[in-house]
Amino acid sequence: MKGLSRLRGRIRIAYLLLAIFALAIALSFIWEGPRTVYANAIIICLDCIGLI
Amino acid sequence: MFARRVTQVVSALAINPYFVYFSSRVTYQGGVKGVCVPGLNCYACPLTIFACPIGSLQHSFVLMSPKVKGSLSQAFASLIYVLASIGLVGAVVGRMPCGWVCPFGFLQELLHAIPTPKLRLPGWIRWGRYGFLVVVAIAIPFITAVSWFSRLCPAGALEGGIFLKAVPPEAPLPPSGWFFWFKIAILAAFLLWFVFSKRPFCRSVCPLGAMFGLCNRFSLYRMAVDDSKCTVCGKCREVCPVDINIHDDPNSPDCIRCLQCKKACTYGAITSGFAVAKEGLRLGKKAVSAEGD
Ligand code: SF4
Ligand code: SF4
Ligand code: SF4
Repeated sequence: MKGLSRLRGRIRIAYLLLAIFALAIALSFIWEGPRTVYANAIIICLDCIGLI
Repeated sequence: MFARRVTQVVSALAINPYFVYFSSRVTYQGGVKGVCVPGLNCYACPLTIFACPIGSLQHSFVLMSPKVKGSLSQAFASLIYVLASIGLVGAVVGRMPCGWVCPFGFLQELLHAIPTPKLRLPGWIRWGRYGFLVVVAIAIPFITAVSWFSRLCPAGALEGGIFLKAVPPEAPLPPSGWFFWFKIAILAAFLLWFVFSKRPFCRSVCPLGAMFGLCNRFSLYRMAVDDSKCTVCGKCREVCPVDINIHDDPNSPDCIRCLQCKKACTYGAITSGFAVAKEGLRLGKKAVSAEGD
C-alpha cells in the first residue's frame, strides 16, 4: 500500500510538472523565447561543424 | 525490435526531411526551426527542420554571459522555453525518445550490431553525462560565451561538418582549419567506440540524455518489475542497449525505455505503461512496491 500511495504521489507530481512546463512554454512566448531559439537555429552553427 | 527500428528510421526522416537542400543549397528557414526536437540532432545539418535542444540550451547561456551584452529577458525566455520543451516530453514518457526517436542513439545501436568482441563499461561512467551537462553545456558557455559542447559534439561533426563539406551551401563557409580535423578525430574515436560498447555516448556524455533520464523518476509512463516473477536470470541485461539490470531500479535515469527487456523476459516480470487512475491494477501490487520502498 505504501508503494501504491507513493506512486500516486509521483503521478500527481508528473501532472503538476506537466502543467508548469506547458505554462512556462506559453509564458516564454511573451519574451520571445521561441523566436530567440529560431533566430539562432536558422544560422549554420560554425561551432557545431568545427569551422571556427 | 522491428517496431522500434521502424520508429527510429521514420523519426530520423521526420526530423531531417529537407531534401530540397540538395537543389537549393539553402538550409531550411521556416518557423518549425524554433521547435526543439526530442533528440540530439544537429541544427547545422542541412536536412533538418528542427532546433537542437542542447545547441539552444547553450545559446541561452551564451546570451546570459557577462561577455555578451544581450537581452537578459530574451535569454531567460529562451532558456525556459528549451527546458520546458524537454520537460514536457520527459514528464509524459521520460527518456523514451532516446530509445525510439533520437537519430544519434540509433546510429550507436546500428554500429554496435557489427559483430566484434564487446567492451562492457563500468556503471560510474553515467556521472560523465551530468558533468558534461553542468560544466560543458552550461557553465563554460556562460563564462566564455562560446558553445563548447557544440564545438566538441560528434553529432555536429557528422551531421553538420562532414555533410556541409560534401554538399556545400550557396553562401560560402570559412575554410577548415586544424579544429575541424580535431573534431573529425573526436567523431572517429566515438564511431569506433560505438562498435565495441553499448551506447557509450548516451551513457557517459549526452546532456540531453542526462535531462531526459532524470524525468524517468517522475514521468507518467512507468516501468515496473514484479519481484515474485523475476528469477534474476539476466536475459533483460543481455538485450538492454544501455547494459543495465532493470530489476535493480525499474525507473532508473539510465533506462532509455526501449522495452527490449519487456519482450525478452520469458517470465513476464516486466510491465510498463501509463499509470493513471488504475495504476495499482495495471502494474500489479508487487510491481508497485518496486517503486522505491
Ligand atoms: S542520450 Fe543518446 S539517444 Fe538520448 S538524446 Fe542523447 S544521443 Fe540521443
Ligand atoms: S529477464 Fe525477467 S526474470 Fe530474467 S532477470 Fe530480467 S526481469 Fe528478471
Ligand atoms: S532496462 Fe529495458 S527498457 Fe530500459 S533501456 Fe534496458 S532494455 Fe530498454
